[in-house]
Amino acid sequence: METNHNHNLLREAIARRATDTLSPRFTATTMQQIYKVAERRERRVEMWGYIAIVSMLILVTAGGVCGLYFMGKLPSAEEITTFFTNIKKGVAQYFTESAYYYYMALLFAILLVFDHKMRRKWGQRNSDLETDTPS
Amino acid sequence: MEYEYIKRIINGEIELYGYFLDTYGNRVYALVQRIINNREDAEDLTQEVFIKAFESLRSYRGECQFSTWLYRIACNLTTTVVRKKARQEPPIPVDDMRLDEIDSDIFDEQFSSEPDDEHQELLDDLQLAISWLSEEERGLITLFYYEEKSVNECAYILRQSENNIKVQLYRARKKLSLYLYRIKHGNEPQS
Repeated sequence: METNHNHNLLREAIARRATDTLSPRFTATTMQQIYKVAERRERRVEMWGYIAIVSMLILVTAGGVCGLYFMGKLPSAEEITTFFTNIKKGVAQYFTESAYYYYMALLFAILLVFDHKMRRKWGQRNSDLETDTPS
Repeated sequence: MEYEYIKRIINGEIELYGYFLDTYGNRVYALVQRIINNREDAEDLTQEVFIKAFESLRSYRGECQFSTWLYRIACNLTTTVVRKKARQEPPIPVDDMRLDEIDSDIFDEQFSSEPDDEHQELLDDLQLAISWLSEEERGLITLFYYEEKSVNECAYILRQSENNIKVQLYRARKKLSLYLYRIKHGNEPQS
């Protein structure tokens, strides 16, 4: 039969087995791990969202193709080739006609970047001079 | 209040989890230390317990105290991790049949001590005897005797039936008294 004395003795002996306390950095380091876990979980959820969207798109497209096939309205291979060739031609023509505008935009972007870099360099130099000047 | 915090953590206020680390960190750490014999691993295991608890926070429905739920994860994780590593076996393994043959009175006899010196010696011997128990048994006696959890709570934490817990407690006590007898006399008691 177990007595209170035995119970207390066991309790005392068990208590002696753990005397250390956690390091003061425990909460901070564990929280860092927790944030990483939460981030990983968020990314996982996001990825499943993308997978769901892509799957739906594939399903809808496949459904559309099947529908067209059974209705006998599926375009022939020749028609499809012509369709894509026309698109290619159209895109090429568009770029040829607009080449001048693209050239101007590119030049503008290069000048903008150059201006930004020079301003930064100039600003840095001025602030260095101000700190060097004795008051 | 804690359940409210948990709901907020699930909804994205992760920083609130720090409250649980501050409140229960040392308690879980102490439990893990008492189950495993290696103190160096205890802090890493405690961290794992809290990470696992965070990952399964949605499954906590407030059906028991949060500490009980944490202990359930701690016991499960600790015994799993320890089982994977090479376990320290008791120096003289106990035969289950032999355990049944031993008279229950031996338990009270082994635990009796009068003067202070003997009390300290008995505590030292008892600590050694506890270290010879298996991790599962150490977990159980820690929960029952130190944490003062009921048989019902122990059953929930260790994922076993109440009857099984009662039997295991009885066997752990008998094993302890047998170990104490061996430490004191160097041989086994006559049945």
